[in-house]
Amino acid sequence: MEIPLILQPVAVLLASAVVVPLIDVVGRAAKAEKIREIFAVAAFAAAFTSMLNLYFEIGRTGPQSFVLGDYGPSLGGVQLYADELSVFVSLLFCGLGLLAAIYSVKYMEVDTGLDKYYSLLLTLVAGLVGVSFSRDFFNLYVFWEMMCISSYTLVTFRKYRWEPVEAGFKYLIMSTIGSLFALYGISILYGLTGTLNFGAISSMIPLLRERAGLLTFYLIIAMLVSGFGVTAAVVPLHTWLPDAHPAAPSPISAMLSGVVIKAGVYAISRSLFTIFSPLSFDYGTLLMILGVLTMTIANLGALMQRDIKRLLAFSSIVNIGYILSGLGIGAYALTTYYASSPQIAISAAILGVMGALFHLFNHAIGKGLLFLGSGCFVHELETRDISRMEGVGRRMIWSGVSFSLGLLALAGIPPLSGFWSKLFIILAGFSVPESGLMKVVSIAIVINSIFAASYYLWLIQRIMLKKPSEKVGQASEAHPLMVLPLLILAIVLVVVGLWPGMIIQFAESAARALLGG
Amino acid sequence: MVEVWQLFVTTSALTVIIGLYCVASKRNMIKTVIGVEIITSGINLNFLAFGYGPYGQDPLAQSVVITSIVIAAAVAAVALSMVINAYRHYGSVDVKKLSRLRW
Amino acid sequence: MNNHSELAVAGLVIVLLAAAMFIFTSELLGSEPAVAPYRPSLTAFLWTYRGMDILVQGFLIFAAAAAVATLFRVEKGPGAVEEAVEESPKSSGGS
Repeated sequence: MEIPLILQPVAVLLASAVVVPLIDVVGRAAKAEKIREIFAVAAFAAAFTSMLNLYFEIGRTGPQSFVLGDYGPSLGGVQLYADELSVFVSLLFCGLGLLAAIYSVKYMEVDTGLDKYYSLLLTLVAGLVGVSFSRDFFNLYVFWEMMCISSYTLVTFRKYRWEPVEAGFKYLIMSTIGSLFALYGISILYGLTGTLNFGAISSMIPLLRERAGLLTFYLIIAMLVSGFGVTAAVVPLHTWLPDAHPAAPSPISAMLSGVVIKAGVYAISRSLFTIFSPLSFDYGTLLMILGVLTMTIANLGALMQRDIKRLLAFSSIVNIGYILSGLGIGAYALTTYYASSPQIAISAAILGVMGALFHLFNHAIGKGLLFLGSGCFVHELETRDISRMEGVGRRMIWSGVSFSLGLLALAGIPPLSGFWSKLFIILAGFSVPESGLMKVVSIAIVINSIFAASYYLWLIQRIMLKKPSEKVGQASEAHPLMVLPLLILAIVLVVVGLWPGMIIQFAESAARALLGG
Repeated sequence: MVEVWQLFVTTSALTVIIGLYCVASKRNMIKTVIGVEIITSGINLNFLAFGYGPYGQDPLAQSVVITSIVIAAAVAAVALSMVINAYRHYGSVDVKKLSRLRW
Repeated sequence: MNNHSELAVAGLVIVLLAAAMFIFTSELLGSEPAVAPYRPSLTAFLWTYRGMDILVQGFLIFAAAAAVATLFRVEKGPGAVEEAVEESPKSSGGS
């Protein structure tokens, strides 16, 4: 039976998720316990390969879509649609899932119930990939909830301590209410248009603007942004994140901070940009204000942390602020300046959105690297307190150097990759000469980057340059299976920093796909 | 002249608000989970209210509601398992006790 | 005392939210809902148009079952040791 290429990643991931517990039973009976880890890593590798195949296919023939049976999408048929933006984001999800699975083989050794762990990790990535491929709200909601249920449980995986249970419960309640808010907005949108398909709704919106008031549409936009924004960790809806990310096991922290919050940003951008054309609805201002607020408040919050994973969690929120500002600059440029100077507006919008997507990529790789690296330190030293970890980078050379590379890249030091993405966003803000608000946002991004770089460099100094204490002096390098993902991610960061051309091209085609020409 | 669907939409908005109040102000964790379920009921009613047309009830709305009920049941199961785990750690189901993580 | 003030704040926030929602909803009620196009009956609709979603829901229920099984599993040893910064139940956190 021939499975269409677009269905393959999700099908592989879901089928493996169901098979892993069976493999575990077989493995335990045959006394070869490692079979389930090997199987899970193989499943992730297979999904990543089929995602690469899909990428090349899209490069050859254009966006792929899959319609169930012969029923056209406007009648409510299921449509899965993969364009450049979906594949851009899904490659990140699958790749980081693969590296997290390789890392978990050693890190999670001491835990029981590991068959369910790998099963849930596979469902998490399946839900994420499904979110990025879905083209109507029903599909989006089902895959979104699959992702959310997996991530709630994985945060609470080490339930024998109090901290994951408390953090997981807070995360569950807040995120569920966010999803329900988004669903309420979707139901109002359904009421106005009678369909849930993105394409059908976007073609109906201009006709409806006279019948229903403008206020209704802004209500829907507000509900969608705040609903998906809980998972995307925008301020003031971010309070679950600094508790959930440290409490989760390190590979899950890397997945959460690297990809799950990006799925929230993806959902916001896809539902806003595709349905409500930025030419007629002004949500650029909203996204820019939220972005600046997120950056500033999270930067202030990060200053007071003594726990390494909590510091990294706050810096994740800061980077989501950068991404949102980039998207907001793009939308604002189109809304306000399209009528007067279309060329400048379009180029500013593409530059802004491309910078935002490039920064999404950089931050996912970088934050994944940082959480996996700090997981190496925590695994060896059994503490998360920075003051007890001083100088550990000198004892654990490979992890320490990769960790520092990740911090430098996120701080925006050239020639590492973080510099380019922030530069694009800032340039997009300055590219329209007569706008005041965009320039203010760009200046805010510059100030916040400098501020963030200061505590990144402080962290590098604590980890690498200080003298190791007694306990740290006995630490040794982590197992190679844990260091390998770190090295891969660090190499990716350096390569993308020195030769950003390919990723920039990819991000630009994704930005064009998002803005729809 | 008030139409039927307007009554349903208002009722669903009221239900969502009651659910939000329940989540925000109850000290018992189980009551918080019940509040989430109340919000879900309100949203389901909203979908069904908009789905009634001259051809009868719209099956797209019905299928979304069925899916939403299934998902809410799954989320409630996971939430209540977490409540039981929290009870084993803290000895009570009071949300105020879950305040060790600050800043 | 604390309990009352927090309840009052929660109630106030909910009342403001309700007021905002009613202002918007009154505008919504003024407009008319769309007429959904003709669609077949529910069972035919579910199986032909929405089969994939039902399949994915099956996997979602599997994920929820795995989740509940994870949260109720029996631990054999002490598990991983990881000392957090906010450690004992007595201390009240802080920077």
